[in-house]
Amino acid sequence: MQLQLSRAQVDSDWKREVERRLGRKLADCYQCGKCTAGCPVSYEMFHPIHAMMRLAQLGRKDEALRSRSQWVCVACETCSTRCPKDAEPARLMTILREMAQEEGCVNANERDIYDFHTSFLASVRRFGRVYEMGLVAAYKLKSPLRRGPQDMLTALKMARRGKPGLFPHRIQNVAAIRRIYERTRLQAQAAARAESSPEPHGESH
Amino acid sequence: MEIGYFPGCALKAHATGLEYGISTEAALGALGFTLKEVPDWNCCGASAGHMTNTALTRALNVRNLALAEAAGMSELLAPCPLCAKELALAHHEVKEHPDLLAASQEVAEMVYRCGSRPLTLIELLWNHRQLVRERAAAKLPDVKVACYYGCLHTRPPEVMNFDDTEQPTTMDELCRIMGLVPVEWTHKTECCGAGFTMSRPTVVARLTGRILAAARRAGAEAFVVACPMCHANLDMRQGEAAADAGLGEDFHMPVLYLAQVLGLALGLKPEALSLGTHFVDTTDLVARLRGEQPVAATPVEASERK
Repeated sequence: MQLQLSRAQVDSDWKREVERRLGRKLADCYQCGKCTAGCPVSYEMFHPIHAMMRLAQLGRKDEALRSRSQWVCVACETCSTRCPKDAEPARLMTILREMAQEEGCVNANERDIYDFHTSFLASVRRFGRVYEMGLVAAYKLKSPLRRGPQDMLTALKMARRGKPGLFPHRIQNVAAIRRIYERTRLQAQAAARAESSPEPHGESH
Repeated sequence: MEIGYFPGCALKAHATGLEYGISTEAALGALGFTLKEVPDWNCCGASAGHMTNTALTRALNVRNLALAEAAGMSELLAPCPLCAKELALAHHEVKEHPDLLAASQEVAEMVYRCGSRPLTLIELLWNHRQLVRERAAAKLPDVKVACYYGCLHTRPPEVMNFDDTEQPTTMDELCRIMGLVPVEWTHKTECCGAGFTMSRPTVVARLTGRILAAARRAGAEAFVVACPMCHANLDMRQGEAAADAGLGEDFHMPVLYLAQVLGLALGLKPEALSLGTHFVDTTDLVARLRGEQPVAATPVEASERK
């Protein structure tokens, strides 16, 4: 990774906020690369996990938040488990996913992954449990032409085995779940900045 | 023995992991456990919650833990490791951080005294391995199996606090007790792609293909798993994964749940363990495990066999 370094691009306030959420200093990471070596999806990333740590260390907020890497991360926790400095790279990825939503700059190229997460959580909000059939329908309807035909044969095979069920399981106290969602909604920060972003679609579920 | 039970969405409502729910309830029942379901439990948030909103996920799980605690469940079995890990993570975080406990209690409108410990199925059986030994020792033939744990049975280590992070052996040892021959292999805890099965199937095919290739290299004839996502990816996407790994079109490796293996060792009928609803046909393997001659496949499986 080659970076042009200039003081103008270092966002120190943002870096401090990352460190606050991380609960440790970003400087703990000495860039050994062990996280990337063990990452099962590093082959999918322009900025693999150690490079994301580096971007954070250098306060490169925009590049970090707009990256695709945090969305391709499978959250397997291998990086954090093996990190010799307990720098918690997996937690950094979680923080970047939350911040990207708060700032309205979720990378548009990873729309499939993001839509699946939001469709899943919308299903839980509605019923208290996941309703697989409804989740799949909602996900496909957000981009029907492209996602519609995907996995039709698999769906047929599943149907012959009685999966997934046709009807949702609704819990009794769905109202409590709705209130949990309301109270933990991610706060959209700096609305003005989000407006100027080229692809503002980081609405929270 | 009565134990708290958190089935989770995948094991209930004829969802993708229905075999795991059916077989867990049947096998543990046969072993003498009474499963007491958490009243009005909600989804743990799974990958989607973990990936996009930690405060939401923590509160959803504090609600579950508080409900379990109020019902007197000091130990809470969550056979799905996604649920187990999210529950254990919430339990661990609020126990360590009083501020997170206070915030989550307020959001979830529940009081939690950190008195309900989540367990995976492997951990429960490991804790009662003497019972497994008494009831199921050497009941199965010497079939070579690859015990696949996936990510979350051992990670994050400070949360799951169970077995070796890189090379766990507890599920292997349980299978060995029952008479199976677990192979030594390399990919016990490599990720299968988990929740990307719809949103990024190419990643799942690549990761799962590597796991299939590693199991074949080690000489395994079947997988034993304890996670509905691992099962879905290894079983339902085996064709794509085998193609990605260049394993040939006739690659065929049945994927059984640990609870199904235990059920067979306890003498339960295959139908009681839902062994006929997997994508990769299990008929021949199940016949061998039960010490029978191979029988004809069921109509659904026969029509889909190539």
